[in-house]
Amino acid sequence: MNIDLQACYRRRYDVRKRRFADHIYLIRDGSIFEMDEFSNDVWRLCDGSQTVLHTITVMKDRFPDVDSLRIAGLALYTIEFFVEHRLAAAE
Amino acid sequence: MVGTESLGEVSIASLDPAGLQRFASEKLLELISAEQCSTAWVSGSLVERLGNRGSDVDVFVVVEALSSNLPATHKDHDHWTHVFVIGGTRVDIEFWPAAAIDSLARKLHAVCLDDLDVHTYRYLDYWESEFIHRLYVGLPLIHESAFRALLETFDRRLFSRYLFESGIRRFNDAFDDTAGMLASGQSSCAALRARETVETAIDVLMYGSGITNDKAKFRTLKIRRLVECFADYRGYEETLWRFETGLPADPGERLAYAEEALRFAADLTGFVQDRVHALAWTHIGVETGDREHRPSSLLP
Repeated sequence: MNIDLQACYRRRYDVRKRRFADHIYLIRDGSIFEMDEFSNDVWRLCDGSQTVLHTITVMKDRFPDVDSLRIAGLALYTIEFFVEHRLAAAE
Repeated sequence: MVGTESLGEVSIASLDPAGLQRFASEKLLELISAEQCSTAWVSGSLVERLGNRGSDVDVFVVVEALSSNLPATHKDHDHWTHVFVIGGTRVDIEFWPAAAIDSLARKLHAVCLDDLDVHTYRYLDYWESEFIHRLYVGLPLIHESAFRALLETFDRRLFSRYLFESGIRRFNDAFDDTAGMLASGQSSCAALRARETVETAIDVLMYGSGITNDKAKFRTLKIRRLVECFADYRGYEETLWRFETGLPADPGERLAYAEEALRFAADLTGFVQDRVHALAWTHIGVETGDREHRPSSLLP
């Protein structure tokens, strides 16, 4: 899947988040997806106004000690996952 | 016996909390002696300044046991109530045995909130959560040190978490209903249920902000109180009103209304869950850096 770095992705209207103890889930139509704190941060940035490039920049700033390419790859993978599973869509 | 009386020119509902405290203390001591109870407090919506001319005054009295020398117009199995009207305002005096209150504190302490498989929705009966809230916001009438000690027996943070989890479950139900209705094109049902989804999301925000008053009828007053204390809640208040008053007549517009409502509600509950987790239940929006638990009611 090609993710456009200039595109803005937005959480779908029928997805809700459930945080329970140390677990974070996304729930849509009976399907449950567990997130970690990294993907939760990316999820929050999928508000329809942030470009993918901006999301990557924010995530790099949050993890300054981690290799930038690794952060970018993880952020792109996370957004791809959201799109593939119809949790988020391009605006 | 105390019957319907006139309070002269003074309306009880217009008294400030300190005035209510004095009034309730006088009336209580007309009925029983201070030696007959461990402690007592006045509470309810008038004390929280959420009430109105039609609101009751609620007085709670802790006794060693329910005995025939206590006045009572209703006798429930676990507590008795003496009701009278004065100056047009109803006063409920509830007598509670210390053992029943201790049992409630232990029940709250035993609530399991860290296991998804344990269903805690409605774990506390309505009167139980109301009793705890009214203790938190109560003003002592007799034996203040005993009142303070009683407060300490109820874990405030645990109660907030319980209300929050219950609110999240109500939100989940409303959200999933709405999403299903939307998927099936049930526009009118979806729009009305979406409005309830927004309301439950606002309730979650309030529980996460420290408010333990869970009466829906005061929802708009409670969010107003939060806005007065913390300006960053203003957007939530405005959005609540927009959804409350903006139900469209056109079926196509109803679907769009429901979608927008779900987005707002999901974003809000997602944000609040992250915040209360990050702050370990010391509550969101505190601008002073104070990490203490907020009071149960944000009195002006």
